[in-house]
Amino acid sequence: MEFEFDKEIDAILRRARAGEAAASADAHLDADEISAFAENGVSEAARVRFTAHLADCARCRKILSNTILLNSEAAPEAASAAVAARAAKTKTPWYRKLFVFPQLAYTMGAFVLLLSGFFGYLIIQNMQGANSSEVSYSTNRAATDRSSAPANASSAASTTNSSALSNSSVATNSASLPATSNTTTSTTTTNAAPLSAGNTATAAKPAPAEKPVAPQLNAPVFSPQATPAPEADNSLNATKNEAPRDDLAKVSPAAPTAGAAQNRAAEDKQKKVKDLAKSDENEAAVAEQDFRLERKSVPKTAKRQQSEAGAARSVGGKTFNNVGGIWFDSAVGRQKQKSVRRGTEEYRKLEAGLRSIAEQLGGTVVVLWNGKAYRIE
Amino acid sequence: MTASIEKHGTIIDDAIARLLARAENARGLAPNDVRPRVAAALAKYLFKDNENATAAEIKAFVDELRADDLCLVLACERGIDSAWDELVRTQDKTVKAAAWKISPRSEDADDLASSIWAELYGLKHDKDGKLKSKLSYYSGRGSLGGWLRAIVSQLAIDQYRKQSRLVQVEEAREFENLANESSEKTDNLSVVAHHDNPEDIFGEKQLRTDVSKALSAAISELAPDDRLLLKLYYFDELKLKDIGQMFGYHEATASRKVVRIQGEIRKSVERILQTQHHWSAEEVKRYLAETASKLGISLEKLVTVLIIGALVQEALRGTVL
Repeated sequence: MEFEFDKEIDAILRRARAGEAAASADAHLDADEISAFAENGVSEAARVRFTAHLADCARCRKILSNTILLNSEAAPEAASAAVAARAAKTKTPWYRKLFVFPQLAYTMGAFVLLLSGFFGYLIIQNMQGANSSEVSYSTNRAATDRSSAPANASSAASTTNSSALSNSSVATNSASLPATSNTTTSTTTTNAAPLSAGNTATAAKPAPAEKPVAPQLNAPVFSPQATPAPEADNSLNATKNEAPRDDLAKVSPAAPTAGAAQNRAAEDKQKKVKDLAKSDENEAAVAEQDFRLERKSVPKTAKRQQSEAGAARSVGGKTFNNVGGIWFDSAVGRQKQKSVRRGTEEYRKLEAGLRSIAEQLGGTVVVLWNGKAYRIE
Repeated sequence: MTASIEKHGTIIDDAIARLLARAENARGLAPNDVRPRVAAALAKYLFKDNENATAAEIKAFVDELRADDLCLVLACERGIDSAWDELVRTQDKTVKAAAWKISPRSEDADDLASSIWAELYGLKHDKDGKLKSKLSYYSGRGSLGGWLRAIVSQLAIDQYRKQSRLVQVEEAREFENLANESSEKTDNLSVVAHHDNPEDIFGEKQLRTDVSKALSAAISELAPDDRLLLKLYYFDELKLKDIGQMFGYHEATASRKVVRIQGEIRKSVERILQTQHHWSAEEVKRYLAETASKLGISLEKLVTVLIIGALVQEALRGTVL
């Protein structure tokens, strides 16, 4: 609108303010009339009359303009006062008070503290998480060992089975028992690698993976023609460092032909069962059940292998002859034999090499060790 | 007017009854307590311009009165302390704010506010021995706050007029000094010009006089509404929004009116200069353009001088009034 103004006349009119004509001859308007006029509160006839006076009376017009100016400035104040009154009446929510200075400063400080505390907690958690992950890893490993225990057994059994199957086509040293050739032994050893690999694979599996193993244990793994020979030196070497086993020896003292793999499986099973007994009774029970299932299969082979008498094996640099189901060290003379039973504290105190021989041979072993004769049963 | 009031006595009484009924706090006033004030308002605002006002107009007029404000003022006049307490409590801020706005100095503002309250309470006694209060002039036609602001403004201007009579000589001298000082600057020639040639000085002064007379004549030819609008806008520098609100129309309407008035004034000025002062059309056009351009520059740079000039003119008018 200002753009459409006649700027020349506009400028001249502004200057003409200084030469404004003097007052009207009419009676001045009083404050009531002026205020009513300012608020457009007079009748049309009165408005015309007042306008005629105000147009020529500088004094009344000045009062009018001042009144209009004061009213226009008072209106926002009144409005703001009304708003302030309403705001005062309105209850401010507690969370809005937090964003009002100076509460805002305290709020931000508290927020920073909370945030730093949170990050600190996260850092500590991460540090602990690293430890706990290690623990968890160990636990997993333990669980893996636990879960792989039956798998080891089954794998061992299957390994034995496979080796037995492969042996079935190999010529035997004995007429009654199929001989275990190097090929067979190597097969067993070769199968031992997948066995460990199988253990690893089993370790990644959850515990329920054990269940399918049980039927494998029940499977007729030992066929009469597939029993591995006890002379698998490589296999013995491979299992030289295996943990001692005695329960299996008790079960089948006359069944050394059960094979290193089977012994190893049984030992693993026993060890795992013991470990599990401390931590998890149920899993231990399952493992125990699996172990018992395995034990049931052992006598069958032991009966078959009782006819292996007269066989000779070389273990730990010593030559053992099986006489009546007892492995006799060829170096043993008439020394007094110290009888030691597997699983006893006395047995555990034996040197590892001696125990290794006993474990590899299984059953009753009479061995000369450091000049002393031991009868390990 | 008295006859008109008596003629419409029943209508007025009914209207007063409604007024008391719609007041949130009638403060124990009876219709007879209110009637004289309502009758005076009718006479002042309605019957003075139209003695034959209809019953509907009377009814509408009374219904438009500010019932609460009027009852409060009437109660104060009757000396009801609670009414006075409320009046002071609710309106003291209004009075002081207006006084502070009008008076440049704080001590003057406080004095002005105190004077207002003194006049509201009443300093003089009438023939009946009653205090004569300014409250007796309140009709209820406008708001009590607006009325108090008008009272403050009225009292301030009246006081200023009295004081200006004493200080006008000094202010005029001050203005003259400022004008001389500003005229010494080369870029301020348009408003307070110095010409070395006396003929030029005389010629310039004559041109100004002619234009001023033509302009005054053109403004006086305007309708009162347009004249008042023009003066409120140019002389009192009110906003078009406030002016339009006072007249009851929109700001845009006020703006259109100003544009129209400018056109009318240009035509009138050109006509008067040509017919009465024998200017040629080219001279009128050139002079108005030159004056406007010079004023446009000068107004920006000499706003202080112009304010002082306005004050001096106001003081001079005070002597005339």
